[in-house]
Amino acid sequence: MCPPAIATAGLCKEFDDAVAVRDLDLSIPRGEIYGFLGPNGAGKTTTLRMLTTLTTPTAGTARIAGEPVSDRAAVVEHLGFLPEQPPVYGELTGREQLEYVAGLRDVDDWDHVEDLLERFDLAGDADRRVEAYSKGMKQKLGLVQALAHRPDVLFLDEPTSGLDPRAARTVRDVIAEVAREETTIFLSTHILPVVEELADTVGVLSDGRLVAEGSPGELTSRVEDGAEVGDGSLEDVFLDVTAEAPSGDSAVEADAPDVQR
Amino acid sequence: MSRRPSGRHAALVARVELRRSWRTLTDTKRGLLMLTAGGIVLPLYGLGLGAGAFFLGGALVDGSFSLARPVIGAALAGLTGLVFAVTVQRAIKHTGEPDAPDGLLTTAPYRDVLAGLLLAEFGRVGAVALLPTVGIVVGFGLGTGSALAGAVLFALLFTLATAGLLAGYALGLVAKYVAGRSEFVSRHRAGIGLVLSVGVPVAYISLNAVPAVQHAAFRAAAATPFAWYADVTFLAVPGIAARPPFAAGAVASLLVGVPVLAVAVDALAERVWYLDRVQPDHAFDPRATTLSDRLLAGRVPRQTRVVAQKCWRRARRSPFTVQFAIFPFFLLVLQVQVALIERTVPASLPVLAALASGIAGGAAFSLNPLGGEGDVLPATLTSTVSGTQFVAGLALAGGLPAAILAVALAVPLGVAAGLGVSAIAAAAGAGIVVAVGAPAVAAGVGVVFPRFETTTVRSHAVVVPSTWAFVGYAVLLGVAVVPVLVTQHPVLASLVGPRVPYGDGVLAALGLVGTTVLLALIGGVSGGYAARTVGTYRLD
Repeated sequence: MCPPAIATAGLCKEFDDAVAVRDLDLSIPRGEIYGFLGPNGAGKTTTLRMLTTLTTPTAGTARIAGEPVSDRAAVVEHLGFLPEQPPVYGELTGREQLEYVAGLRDVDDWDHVEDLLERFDLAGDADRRVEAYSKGMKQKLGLVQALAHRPDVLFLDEPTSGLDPRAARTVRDVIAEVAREETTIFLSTHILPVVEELADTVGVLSDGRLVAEGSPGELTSRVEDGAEVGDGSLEDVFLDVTAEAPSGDSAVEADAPDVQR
Repeated sequence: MSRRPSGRHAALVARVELRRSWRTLTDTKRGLLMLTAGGIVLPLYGLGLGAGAFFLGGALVDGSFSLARPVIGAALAGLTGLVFAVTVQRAIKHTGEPDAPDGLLTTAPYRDVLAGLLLAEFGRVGAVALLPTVGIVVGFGLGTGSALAGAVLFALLFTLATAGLLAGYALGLVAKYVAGRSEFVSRHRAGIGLVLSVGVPVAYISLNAVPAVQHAAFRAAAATPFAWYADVTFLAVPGIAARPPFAAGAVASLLVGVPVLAVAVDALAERVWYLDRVQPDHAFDPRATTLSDRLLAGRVPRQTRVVAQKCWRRARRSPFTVQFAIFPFFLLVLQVQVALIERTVPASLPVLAALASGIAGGAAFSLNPLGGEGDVLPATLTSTVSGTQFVAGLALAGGLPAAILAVALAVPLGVAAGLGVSAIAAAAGAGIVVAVGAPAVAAGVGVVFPRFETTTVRSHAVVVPSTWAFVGYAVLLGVAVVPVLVTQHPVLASLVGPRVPYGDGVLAALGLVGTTVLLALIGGVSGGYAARTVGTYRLD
């Protein structure tokens, strides 16, 4: 049996005077799109940085495609990552940037890269310097380079940020298509309709804790005080579970079995 | 997990890094100018050093040069130290971490990236050092009549440069680690960086002219194991007795030292690149009163005060944004060298230091009133602050500290130079007058020649004033301070004094009045124009 694409147990990250992530347990199967939500400062970026080996967990374990995140060299072979700021060099052309990343990844299937350039409507600009690209073009180029090696697990931090509606549609289509090819996608975003449309499972992080997890359908048909409260939107759920209670706990009683407290 | 770096990946990283460096260099006029200057100067350096090495080699074979060992040892120490110093500075500022690290470090193992960055840095150093090195090696080979001597020297230079580069990179990483983990250093890193990046070169230039310091440095270098490396060179020189144990020790030190340095760099890079950096907070307490609040509240309009306080806060957090303003102080280097060599403070230094303070203060915040606001300009223009209040705030921000600095420099330097009270007062007064008037002059020039494009200073995107603003400011200030210079600079005053029926004190006072009048006229027109321009500026 294949191990989960992403598996964490008791994952914690403490900084000098603050706890960013507490006891995070995740088990995300291959080919799933996992929507990762949370308010600003909830610990989403820290979680992403731990899972992509960029920062070391204080406690707990995390495995990507079966490899422990402590083995950076092994993990990076399996992952693609698009941070919030696309990691591209202004002095290079788009095609040179992709050749660079493809070289570091030992990618030989250049047709795949060219195909992605076409899909993202970047082929005509691929020989221009990246410094002349708009924010959306840089975002798309960053996504192409994250996908160039057909990663097992793709981490996306606000992938539709700065994109016009057409480009955002393309990104959503590509995400869905990539997931059908058994790539697991860990999608961190504030744009709830994107998650609602794409995600198989949604996790909500608040104050470093996973306060809710389930499919969008499960989360939006919550049960409160033993009574079905009917379909709400993901936005309602998000606002409920991340609302700050006087005790510091979540203000919402959610009895649905897949909703963690 | 111990994995050796992939040579192919390292070469790819290095190639892309060098390509980016080349494009950055050739994209700008400044870069092209540097390339042109390098293309002219480096071959000349190569020829000069080659000639020196040729004569040195000949003298070695003749046995006519008794100081060969310490001289060659000191030269090798100097070259290694130069590579070390340049690499430390570059590692701290530029090369100590990959650009876009999140992307690169999740694409390739960090060790591949590190090897590539080091390879690229070696390529950059090599590009600069190639012609001088070829000159030295060929000259030495011809001078000694031994190709083997040249080859040995080349191998030695190559290995020492590698050691210097690795040691420099390691120290740069240590500095970055400290900056990342220490809250104090992290909070004040820009200020510390500014002090070091300006203070060290100025100290080097100043001290380099002092014979006692030169001799001490030579003796120290000659006494280190670098003298052993001279023995390695001598092994292949006919007619000179090398000391084989020392040569063996030198080779062994490199065989051990270079790998040890490489391991240290690897460990440090992993620590620094994956470091959890401290995040110093700048907590804002609206009830807290600062020194500037206490000094200025009720004395200047609130809008003017907050503009000045904003300038000071930005300068404190990001001193590199006003780094350009220290340029007048470089004019004092010669005076400082004289003071160090002769162990007496030149009589001209107090007034020159006071004037430099005023000129620097004028330039710091006022030389680009519109462009200096950066992304905040639309908010500034649509706020209730008037053009006059805004320009006055900038002038206050530069003028007040400049006046204090002028007095703080002029008085002790004047006492040290043995000047009389009236001369010291005149020097300090000149500094205050310039500190008050120069910002207004700068503001007018700055709105005539604004600059909105960012440039990179210490790896930060910063809007610095335009070159024409600098030129215009220097010309106008140069005219305005002529009366003070003519009446207070000892050499000029000695020419003028006998021709006028006044004593030194009266002469200095007249000069001060002259500069005050000129600054009032030029500053009044210039500052008024700046205030009107800011008040009516549109983002067309």
